[in-house]
Amino acid sequence: MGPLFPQGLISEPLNLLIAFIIGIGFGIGLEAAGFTNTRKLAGVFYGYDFVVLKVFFTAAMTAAIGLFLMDAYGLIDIKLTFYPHTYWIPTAIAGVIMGLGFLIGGFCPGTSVCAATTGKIDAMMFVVGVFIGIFFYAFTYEPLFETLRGTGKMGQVDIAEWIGISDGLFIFIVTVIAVASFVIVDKIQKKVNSKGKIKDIEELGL
Amino acid sequence: MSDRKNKYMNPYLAGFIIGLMLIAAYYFSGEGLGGSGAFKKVVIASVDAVAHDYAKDAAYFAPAVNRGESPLNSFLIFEILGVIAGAILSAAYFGRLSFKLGKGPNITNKTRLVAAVFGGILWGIGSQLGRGCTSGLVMSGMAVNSLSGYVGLIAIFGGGYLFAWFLRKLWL
Amino acid sequence: MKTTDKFFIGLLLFGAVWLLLAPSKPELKEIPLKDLVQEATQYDRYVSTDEVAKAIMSNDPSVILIDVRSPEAYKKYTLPGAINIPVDSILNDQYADYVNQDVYKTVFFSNGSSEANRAWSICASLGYKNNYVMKGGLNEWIRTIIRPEKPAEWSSEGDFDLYEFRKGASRFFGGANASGSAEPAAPAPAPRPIAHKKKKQAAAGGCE
Repeated sequence: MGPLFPQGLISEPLNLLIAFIIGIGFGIGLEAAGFTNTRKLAGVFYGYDFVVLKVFFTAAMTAAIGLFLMDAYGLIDIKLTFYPHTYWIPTAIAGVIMGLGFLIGGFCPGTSVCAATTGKIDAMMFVVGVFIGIFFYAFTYEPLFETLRGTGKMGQVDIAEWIGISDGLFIFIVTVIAVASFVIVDKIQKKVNSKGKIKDIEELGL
Repeated sequence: MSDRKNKYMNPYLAGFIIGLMLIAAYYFSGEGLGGSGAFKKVVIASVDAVAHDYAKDAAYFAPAVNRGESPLNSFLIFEILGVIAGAILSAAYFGRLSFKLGKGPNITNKTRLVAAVFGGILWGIGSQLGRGCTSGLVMSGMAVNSLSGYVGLIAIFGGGYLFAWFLRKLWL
Repeated sequence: MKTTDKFFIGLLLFGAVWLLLAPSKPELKEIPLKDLVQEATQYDRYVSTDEVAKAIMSNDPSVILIDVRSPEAYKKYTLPGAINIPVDSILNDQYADYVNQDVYKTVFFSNGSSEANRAWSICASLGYKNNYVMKGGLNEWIRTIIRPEKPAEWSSEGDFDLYEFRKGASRFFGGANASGSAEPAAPAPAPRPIAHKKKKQAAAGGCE
């Protein structure tokens, strides 16, 4: 029963090999969806290309449905994974910082790795920026961030339990919202692009 | 060959593939997929190599450095190596493997490159403060119904839409 | 909308409905170790053997020790002042005053940690507070308190202080270092509650 590695059911070298193979699938998905094209990524904020929203929600909900189905039938125990701890204050502040970073830099760390290694020069600069940012954070951690990072501590919180409904019902609701948003963003995208103001639209593969 | 040149995969299929990889990551290793985690480990390993005496006492580095095992010998590093291999394979298949600069149509190359560095810096700080980026915090968090994933989702995309209007010159 | 789009969207909806109708998990797995009501991470669950020893030696009235092993094991050996509630009967009404209250700190212990952890999880899942687990159980107790090991020469000052404390505790509990009577009169200084340390947690997994 999963997760296998934390319970010592597979060896560490095998775990790292699996990590590499999983990474290949992740990389193919990101590149093939167009996530190395910074204009496609930014499109989600301006309404001309919603590929980010479609890929992102499909991936998250596929995984959530799959994992909780496996949990229900005893194939995995989600509570044994490295379940994220919630510190809502630093996460909310950092999220806004990253949102701003997304609009200025045009990538997030995962997509920038794909883009930089497939020849996108702007992504290489972005990667340099991420390293600068982490160095800055690391060397100013004690005076600036250490206290803030520990605020808003709530433990390992499951959002469905927190609201007071079952995991299955919560995932069902989010899936319905996601599917509704897929239909709506297609309409928005058509409307925005029919105004015909997007330059070099063929580059976006729309 | 020409009919697949610079084509993109169906977004729902791509999302489905990434979702399956996320399930596999949790099933085999108990971990989500990460982007910024690998950056962090590279920074830690390089600082440790250059200045171990500093790293073993500094609050940011100490927990990873004093574990007695190289931070590079980890799931997130091998996963990112795989991501690089997968991206190159896919880019080669779709004919996108070439040096190029992506940007909005109305800004100069120089503006784009400076903005990219600044955006990266913000991500570097944000991902450390927020315990992960879009992959490790939000997508992997949503996959296990973690509250932190949804806080991150609202903050990142909410923040993005908040600033979108002010930064429209960069992209439109 | 293209056929491929419809296929994957349909697949998502199908999966979500299936999940909604899927059987709920068996009882045992639903014990939420990260119960929100408890507002505890697993780092707040444990108290060390040293802290337990201090509490016993100072006759701390706010601490109750609960041996969750079988009555037979309890009769053979247990900690001074401990009461016996086998883990299987932890929810019996007669014991509710011990495990579901907000006056005392109750510390569960067993041979290792696992039975005590089980007792703790059962109580935590019901929202009971003020329960703790003695880390490492009686095995750790013997190793650290009854037969403490002298720290290596290069150890820090703190380690030697700890060792001195443990040697004293060992004499108190009649362990290997005892020199003389094994039954000292229990001193009764001011009660001192167990301070449970919040350990800094190492970065584990995820994208941190």
